[in-house]
Amino acid sequence: MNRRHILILAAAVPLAARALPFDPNVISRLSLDGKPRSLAIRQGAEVWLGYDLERATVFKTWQAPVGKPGLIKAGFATRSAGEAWFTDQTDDSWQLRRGGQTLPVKVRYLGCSHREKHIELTWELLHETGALKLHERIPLAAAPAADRVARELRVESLADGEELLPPAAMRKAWKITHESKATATSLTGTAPHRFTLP
Amino acid sequence: MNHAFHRFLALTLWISATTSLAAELSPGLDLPATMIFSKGPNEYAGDALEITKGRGSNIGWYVQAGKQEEVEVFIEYACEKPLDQAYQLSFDGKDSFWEVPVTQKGEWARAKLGTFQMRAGLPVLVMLVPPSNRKYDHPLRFRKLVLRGRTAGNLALISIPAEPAAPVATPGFGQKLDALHPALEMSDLRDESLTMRISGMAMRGKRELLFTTWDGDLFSLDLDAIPAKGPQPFRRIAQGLSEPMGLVIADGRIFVTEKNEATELIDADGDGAFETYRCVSHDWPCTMDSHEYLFGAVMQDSHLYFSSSVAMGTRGGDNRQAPLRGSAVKVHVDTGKTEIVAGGLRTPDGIGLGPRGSILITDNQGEWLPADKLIHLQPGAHYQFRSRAPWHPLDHMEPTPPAVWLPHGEIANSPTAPFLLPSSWGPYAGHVLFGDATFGGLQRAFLEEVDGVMQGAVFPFSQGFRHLFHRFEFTPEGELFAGGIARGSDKEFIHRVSGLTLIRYTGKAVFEPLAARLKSNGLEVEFTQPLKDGSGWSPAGYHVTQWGYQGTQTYGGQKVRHRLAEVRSATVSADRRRVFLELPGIITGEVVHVRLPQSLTSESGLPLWAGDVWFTVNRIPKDRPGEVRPAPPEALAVTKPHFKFSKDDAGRVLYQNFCAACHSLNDTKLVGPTFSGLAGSKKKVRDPATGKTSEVKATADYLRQSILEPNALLVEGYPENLMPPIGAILTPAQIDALVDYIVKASKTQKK
Repeated sequence: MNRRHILILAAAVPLAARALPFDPNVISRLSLDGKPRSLAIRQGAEVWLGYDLERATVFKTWQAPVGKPGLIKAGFATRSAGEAWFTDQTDDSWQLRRGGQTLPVKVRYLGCSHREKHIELTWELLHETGALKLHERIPLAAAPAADRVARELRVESLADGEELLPPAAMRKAWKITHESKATATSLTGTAPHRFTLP
Repeated sequence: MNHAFHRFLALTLWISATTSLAAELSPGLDLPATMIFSKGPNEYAGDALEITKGRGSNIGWYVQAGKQEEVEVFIEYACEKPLDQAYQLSFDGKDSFWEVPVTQKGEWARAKLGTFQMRAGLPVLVMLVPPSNRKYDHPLRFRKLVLRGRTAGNLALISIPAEPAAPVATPGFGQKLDALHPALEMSDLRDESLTMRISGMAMRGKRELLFTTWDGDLFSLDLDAIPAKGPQPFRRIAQGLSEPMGLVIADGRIFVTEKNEATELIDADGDGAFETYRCVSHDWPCTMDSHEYLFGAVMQDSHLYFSSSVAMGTRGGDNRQAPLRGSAVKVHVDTGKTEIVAGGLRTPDGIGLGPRGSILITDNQGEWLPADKLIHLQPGAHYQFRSRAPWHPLDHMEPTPPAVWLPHGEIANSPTAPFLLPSSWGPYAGHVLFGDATFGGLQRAFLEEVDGVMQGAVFPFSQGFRHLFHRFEFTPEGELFAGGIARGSDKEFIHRVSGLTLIRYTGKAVFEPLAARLKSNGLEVEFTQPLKDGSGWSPAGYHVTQWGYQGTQTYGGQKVRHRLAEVRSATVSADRRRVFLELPGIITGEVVHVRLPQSLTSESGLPLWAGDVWFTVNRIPKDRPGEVRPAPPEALAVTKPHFKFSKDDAGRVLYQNFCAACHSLNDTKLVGPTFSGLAGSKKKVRDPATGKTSEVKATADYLRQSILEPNALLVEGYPENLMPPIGAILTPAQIDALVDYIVKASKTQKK
């Protein structure tokens, strides 16, 4: 089925009959756990990822209590409920490593897309000589049990020899795997890197 | 008021005050704590006021001078512990801040607060305003202010100037309208099964209306599919938005201002679903405060313009705001480049395009805002709301005045989106309407520019709607869609006043004041219809008052120099559509209010629809005099008075102005508890300081305390800080009149 077929099919189905993107039960764009610019994404039936949009990073991953929601809405804010698998309460952000030097980056959130099988988040990382674009893809299906949580990140515009270092807590807790299956501690090149939570 | 009379009045007041209050002729003047208007929630210890509470405090005096001169202001005080917030000193509307130096135990200190210009001949308000709602561990003890002028006997402490008597009020004449404008028709397009708090509205193409709801959805309405009866074919086309408060469609692109970001909704594959929410900008700080919103937006030259509101949760504490809150913001829709255009906004719920390419913003009365506002957005301007250091980068102590003051409770309460009326709206084309999320209805403004400065008049226009309008959009044919909204916890109330209304202008002739224009020597009022021949010439047929405003950092502010204006003459134009009122006492920075008599009719015999005009004087034109002609002799023959006055009416008007938006008299659920059956009843109340509950009898004293100190005893089920401390902005006589009215009305106006 090509793109033209999809469009024809979409036009033939009344919008009301199709699921709209950004179902709050899948992706909540309300503030989470006291962070004003944050969102929460559900992976599988019971795992949630909380994103700090100003740091371009996951700040919490948790599993909903059995038979209960993992995200509680109170007014126009939400809070996580369940067992925390990962938390990052620091202000650490991404860093660019170039020629043995580590450079800070300024994070700018660029938005999110809700595709059929995944959510994509995008940020711009501004540094002293330019900007990088960081893409994160969060599959909506449950991760394999061994991984618990799975995400894919890639970065645009890294030059040869440059590396993008995740925030320290992420480097410490998450397993980063390069496309070549090799374990990594940073993002290099333009290929996706898989982040899992052993 | 002519100059001779003015001088006489000033001299009389001055002599009276100096003989009664000033003990001796001296260039200085003491303003003792014991002679302030009202101690509010604070207590005296001897001759000192122990200031432990800011919200509701009203530490002020009126002073008058025979001639203009420079005055230094000193304070005598004691404060043994450092305070983390500054006091506001306002002298005739000029503000300064005082960081309180700590004093030694048991010692009184004297500190200079500033040097100010004392105007001549009019009462000048001097106010010392503590930080909002701060409760100090140890009080600041305040004994007096000392003014030091240069001329012996020039300064005098005077008692509170009496408010000018107001004519008896009826709907449209001193009281909110109670019906639909005769030239409007409306259809309620609500769907009883849905509660739609409409927060943004825009047309996509010529026949599709899109609107957002506060709850985060985007709906579509095909205008060709609106049925004569039954549920509307609303289609939800997007969801998961975060408290959207504005919607703009330009060149087919859809932009939404959400809680913390400006967002573009993108349907790249054209399947009708918006799969990408692109963040256009979020380049300003925010907190978790529920009152921080982005309001708007409008599009101009590929830029989104919207405004950000300030936090309210901090006003019970340290008053800190996130940097840049209260700004008008400009964002390029492609690059996301973000600029702060102006600052000093509080709750600027409405933004819209005005005449001649201008951008207008409405703002809500509260801290620093003594009244509601219709603002002409100007780059670099600061509109006076401030919290504490670090100040907004555009804060400068001389605030930019609004184009039109909207007197709180008289013509506005929570003004919402302003919008320009199209050419199909007959005589009103080019005028500005705006809604109100509390006062309800539609209000109309006419704007003019003098030397590039915008000013104008506001008029009552229409009530009679079910919804509290928040956002508006026209179809190309000039039909107006208006969307209602409400906040609070009462779901039934929210459901009742939220939703969509379609409004049509019918062109029916209505007799009402259409416009007002300032001349060098007075105000010209234009009418929609010619006046009845021979009418309109009597100056006594125009009840004109004028006043300035004083904002405070605690809450709201008050009218100052509120006085009857002299109407020296009234001249009817040859076509009898305009009346020029010669007003020799007009002052820049004040509001002139004109009440027309209900007896005034049009040439065709139409009665006046509404008779109130509030004009804001920002710039008096130098070479634009109004024409003054002698009245035809028979035109001044008065058979009966134009206005009736009643002392008992004052309390009712105060109730309408300050209470009715939240407290009904007929069991209707509003934001606050109903007054129906209140007097003499027993109420369960909670002391928020101790958490203890008790039962009190709702006596006049209880009502008075609730007005002066709303947080002292809270009716069960109502939170702290819900009720504004209006006691701080009312005179003791006004509070008496209000309490009397509430006691009587709560007994007699039950459903």
